[in-house]
Amino acid sequence: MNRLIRISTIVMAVCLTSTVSAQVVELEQDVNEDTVVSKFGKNRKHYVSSYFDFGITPGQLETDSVQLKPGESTKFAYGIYYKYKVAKPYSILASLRYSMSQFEFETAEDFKYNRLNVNTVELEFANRFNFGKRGNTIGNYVEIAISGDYVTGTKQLTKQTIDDPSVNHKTRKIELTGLSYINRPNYTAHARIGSNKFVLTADYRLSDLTNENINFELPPLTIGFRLDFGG
Amino acid sequence: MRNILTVCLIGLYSLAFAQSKVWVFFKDKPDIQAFNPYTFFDQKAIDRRVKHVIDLYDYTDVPVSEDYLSQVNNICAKSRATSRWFNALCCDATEEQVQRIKGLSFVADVKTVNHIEKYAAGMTRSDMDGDFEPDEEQIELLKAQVQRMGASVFKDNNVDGKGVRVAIFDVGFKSYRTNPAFDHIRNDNRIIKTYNFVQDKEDVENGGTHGTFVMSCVGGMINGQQMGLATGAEFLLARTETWTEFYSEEEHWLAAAEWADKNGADVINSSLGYTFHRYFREDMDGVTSLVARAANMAASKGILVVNSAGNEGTDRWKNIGTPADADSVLSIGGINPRTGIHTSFSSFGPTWDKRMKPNVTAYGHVIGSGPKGVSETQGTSFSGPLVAGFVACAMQTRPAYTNMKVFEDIQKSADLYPYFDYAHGYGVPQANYFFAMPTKPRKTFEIDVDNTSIRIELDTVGWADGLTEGAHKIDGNYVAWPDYVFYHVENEKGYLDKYFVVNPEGLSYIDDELAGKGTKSSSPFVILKSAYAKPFTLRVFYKGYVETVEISK
Repeated sequence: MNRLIRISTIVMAVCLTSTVSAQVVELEQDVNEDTVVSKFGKNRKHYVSSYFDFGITPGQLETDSVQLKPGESTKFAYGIYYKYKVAKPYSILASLRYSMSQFEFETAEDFKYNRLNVNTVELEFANRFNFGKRGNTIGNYVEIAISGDYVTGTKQLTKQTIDDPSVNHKTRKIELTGLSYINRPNYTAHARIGSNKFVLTADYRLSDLTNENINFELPPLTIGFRLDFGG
Repeated sequence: MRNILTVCLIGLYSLAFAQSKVWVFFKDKPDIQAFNPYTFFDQKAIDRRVKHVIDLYDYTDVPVSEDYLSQVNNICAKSRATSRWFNALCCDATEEQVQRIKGLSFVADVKTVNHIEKYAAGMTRSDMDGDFEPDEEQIELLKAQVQRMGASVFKDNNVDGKGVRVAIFDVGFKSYRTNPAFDHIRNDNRIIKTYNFVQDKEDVENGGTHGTFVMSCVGGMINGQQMGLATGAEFLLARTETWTEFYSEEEHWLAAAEWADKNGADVINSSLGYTFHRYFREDMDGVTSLVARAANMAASKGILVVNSAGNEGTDRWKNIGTPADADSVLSIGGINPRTGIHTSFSSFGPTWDKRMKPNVTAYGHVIGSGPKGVSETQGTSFSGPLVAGFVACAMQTRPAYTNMKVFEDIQKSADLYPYFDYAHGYGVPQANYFFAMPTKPRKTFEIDVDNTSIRIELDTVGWADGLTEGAHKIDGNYVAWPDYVFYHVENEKGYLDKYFVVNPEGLSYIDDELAGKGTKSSSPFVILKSAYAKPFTLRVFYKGYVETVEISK
């Protein structure tokens, strides 16, 4: 009997699908779907977002033999993060990013530039302390983090002007890659203050980026800002 | 290098822990003996209290102690607002100042609130420029936006909100002193008072044009044509929003509500709301937010608070904001005059605790008047004032009624009632209700229930042939619901699980290509019982007739 009812229902549903095809649903709302408490969101248990970082290296080399051009050494990064809300004011985060640092050195007059590019992959763990009442937003926060960085590529580039009529080219470019004086593994401390999308950042490298193969160490501090695309 | 890092960290830390905004709540009101309601209140505020049987010496109406304010202000960095209703002061204070304030013997509590998380149910604009001579298309919509609620019935009975005082809270009322849409109001000196709570002065011209458009939808008139229904009402104008129409402060709303109460407002129209910046959707329960409690308090003083549902219908938030979630607030959704039903951006109900919101609806696409002329604009910001105008007229017809009785009657007057859903509420309020007992509607469908399904046989008499133009047409056409079937499924807990609006003709009024060319189906609607958890209640609305079927387990 139950089987008969089930078959009849299916047959009826099929028939109705064809007979009511001229009817158009203009509005359909499922209230229960709208009233489920989500676990995913900016101020929910889980959240994933991406960001873009820009920073400058304000420091200087601790040597007289070579100096950086003030304010011209920069760092760009793009990353994604996962945020786990432990409590209302406290979250932990894991982040993976790819960054490109460029150090611009002072040069002699006949050089157009002398720069060092260092590309790294960074895996970071962070503690975020939120303050202020907020809804489902990132809100205002202070963040302290540490990252393990691995140098994936290095390049030193110079471009020199040739003032010699006997040669038929006017400039000389030199690119050195796989630089032996750069340490591949590094680790960096980070401090940030953020408000939704906008974040001020300060990164301080705790390890030496260069080794005994060269006589200077690059400045460890980078300050800048972050644009959190999910903020 | 380490010095630079230290400076940066100190800077970051100090930015993080600077002053925050706090509400300081006091234990008592020592000045209660000196309170004189006859000098404190406007006469209309006293009349309202008498009508609502509210004690003129109600404790919540006694102003906050000047001595308490003075002592706290001496500690705070900046005072923002005071509330006699909540016996509190809002100010900016550092953590150290908060601790000192907490140490004062007369302070009951100090609560921190955030500075910037707020959102208003602002309008989305189509065209802000224009002329004060509306063109034919504008006139058509202009007539329809009031006629949809029965403007001609009010007009025939000389009802225009006369004697009713409407307070409008908004971002600014640019050109309200010169705008021709308000000539009839200014000429009669019916703008009673203005106050700018953002800048603490009387001028409300600056800040924006949103309030001007809103006011025009409450009681504006252009070339003799009503833009809103309350063309005879009195007005209180309050600027409560701080930046654009999207940003505001809850304490300004509260301060404005107390000001409106003191100055005799009968109706408050507020086209703002707060959503995700400060709250979660589960906070939309009508009691969590300060502004919802303030709105309920205003209602307890006899004021009917009308608030737009919000424009989040297509956003992730989707649902109404606060104070539209408050129990005693008449929350207004928007309909699209061209389709005749819910307009996509209008926020949906219910409240988080599953109370029905919005309560009623009105056009969400309107002709309003701004500083540069009349133009079409959209947003539930305008549905609200259209209904606020209606409320003023309803109050004029029911002078002895309390605000909540008028609230009930407005719901009952709406043209889906007793059907409702969380997109349209009870539908669009109708002026007819206030002049004659509603006639029993003609039966327009039959419901047949068998073991597996519910069949709804529609009466197809009078189906219109190809409504190829806008549903708001008034000359010989359409200022009512399209001939759609509305039905909802209510669960045993008393709230809706699902609701639908179905066009039985298979024609979309919005699609001119299809209009008049589709197949008119006389097939019955069939709803399979197995699709819903039993027991449930099915309620159907079609052409004014409503029938309910109970399906047991």
